[in-house]
Amino acid sequence: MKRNWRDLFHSMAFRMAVGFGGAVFLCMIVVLSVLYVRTIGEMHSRMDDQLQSTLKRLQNIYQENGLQRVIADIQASLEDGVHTDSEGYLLMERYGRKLAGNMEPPPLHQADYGNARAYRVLRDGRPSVSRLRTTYLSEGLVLTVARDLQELDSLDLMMRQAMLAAALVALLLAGLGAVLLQRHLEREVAVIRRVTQQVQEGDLSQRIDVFSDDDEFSRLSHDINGMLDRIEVLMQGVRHVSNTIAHNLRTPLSRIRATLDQALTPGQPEKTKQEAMVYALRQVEGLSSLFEKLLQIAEAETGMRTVAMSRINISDILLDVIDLYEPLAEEQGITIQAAINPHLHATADRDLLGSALANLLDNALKYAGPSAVVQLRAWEDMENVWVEIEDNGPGVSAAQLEKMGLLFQRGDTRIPGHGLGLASVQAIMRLLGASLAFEHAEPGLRVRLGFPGNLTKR
Amino acid sequence: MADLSIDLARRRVERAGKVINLQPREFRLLVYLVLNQGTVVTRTMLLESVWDYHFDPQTNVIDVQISRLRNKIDQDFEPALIHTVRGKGYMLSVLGAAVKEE
Repeated sequence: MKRNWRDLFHSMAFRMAVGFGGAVFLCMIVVLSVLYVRTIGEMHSRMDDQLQSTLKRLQNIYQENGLQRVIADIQASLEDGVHTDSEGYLLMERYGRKLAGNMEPPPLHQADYGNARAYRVLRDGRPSVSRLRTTYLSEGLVLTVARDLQELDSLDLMMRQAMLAAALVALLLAGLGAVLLQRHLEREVAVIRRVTQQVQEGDLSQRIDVFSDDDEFSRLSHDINGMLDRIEVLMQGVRHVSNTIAHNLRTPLSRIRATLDQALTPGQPEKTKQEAMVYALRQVEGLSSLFEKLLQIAEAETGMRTVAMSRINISDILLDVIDLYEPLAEEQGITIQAAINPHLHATADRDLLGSALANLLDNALKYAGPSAVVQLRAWEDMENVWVEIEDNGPGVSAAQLEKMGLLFQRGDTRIPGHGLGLASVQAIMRLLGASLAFEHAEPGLRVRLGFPGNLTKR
Repeated sequence: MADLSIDLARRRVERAGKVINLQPREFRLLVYLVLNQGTVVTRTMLLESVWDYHFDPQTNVIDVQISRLRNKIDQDFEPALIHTVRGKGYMLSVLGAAVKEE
């Protein structure tokens, strides 16, 4: 239980709720106090005014009509049935004899009652706490008027009790609110924490249940789920890549081993040894070119490669790449058709772009098959320079289309290759800030590159 | 060079007195090979000097370009001038070869 309370205090939600509750409570106390002081004060001062005006009236009567009329007026006031149980009068001679009124004179040592705020007097033979006002009508003639405070006191008490009750209720509600808020937040956070803990323990497939209402926690959960999706895909990618690297290493290595083993067995002719060495050399070369390519992609992806960005003529680069590949295409019986608008400029790195375009064209020739037609188009619109490379070969499946550009993702596995070409193109395009999209060309595949920065027309 | 002569100004190539028609890029390839005769020229070097791009080309691209050139230069003549160096690239070599410049 003790531990529980410490937890509660450490909870941000609880502290926040307590803070808010405390603020509301304080605010309420201030408002109620002002209300109380003003109300009671107002009633007191009104009572004073009344007493004062009564005195004034009787004083006037005395000056104009004499003592007898004052006595008569006091009698009348006491019998008129208005406030009779709360008002008090006393007309007396100094130190002594009462002339009129319903209050007993003060004790003998006291000349008069004075202007007491609350004084215990005897009125109609009963004790009464009253507010008093006293004046001298003439030398030796004292007039005191009084108003019983019982009514006011009971109102005062009632207000105090109401305020106390309200304060208690507010305190209770604030406390309850704090605990409830804390519980609620704790529950929401617990759902998220349970999942993140499972993820920490290595289970990346966990997802947070998101309820439909669009509050902060559902949005946070949604974001976390999105993050986990991405991490899971990346992790799978990394796993796939390392598996493939291991596989790509193992097969050639075991082949090399077997070949060299065989060459080393005694009695082999010199020619076999020679051939084995050549074979081993070729395999090693293949491996080093694979790792060379992997390194290049890694460099492009991490941005380690220095990029020489400048305004370059994309049309010229396309024509150069076509020039480079024309003989190869011809040899494979593939026709390259070019529809390239002249003088298309974009900001890019000439060598990187050349490498990417060469890769794409290489792929098109490799996968389109004999007697295919590969079309290269380039044009520009208001914002981008677009380059399309389209073949009418067999194309790819919808599932393959989604995975294009991933490391070691192979199109047709019967065609030799490592599955690095498009990955390197994708890394380069990302580095150049250009877009890369793959579409079904029906038949065949269409690759579209979009280069931003048609600055002249923007 | 041997019985091969190159006229850089008129972009004319003759071998054993016969004119050989080369396309511009084939001509540039040949000139580069001749200028570097006796040394191994890698495919990357060829791409750099002939096309002026700095990246590693897919192996077969340059091979096809070279084989075209070889067909025109070496097919009907002896000795062969363009040699393939396995795993490295190409080399143009013949004893006593020289570029004839006019």
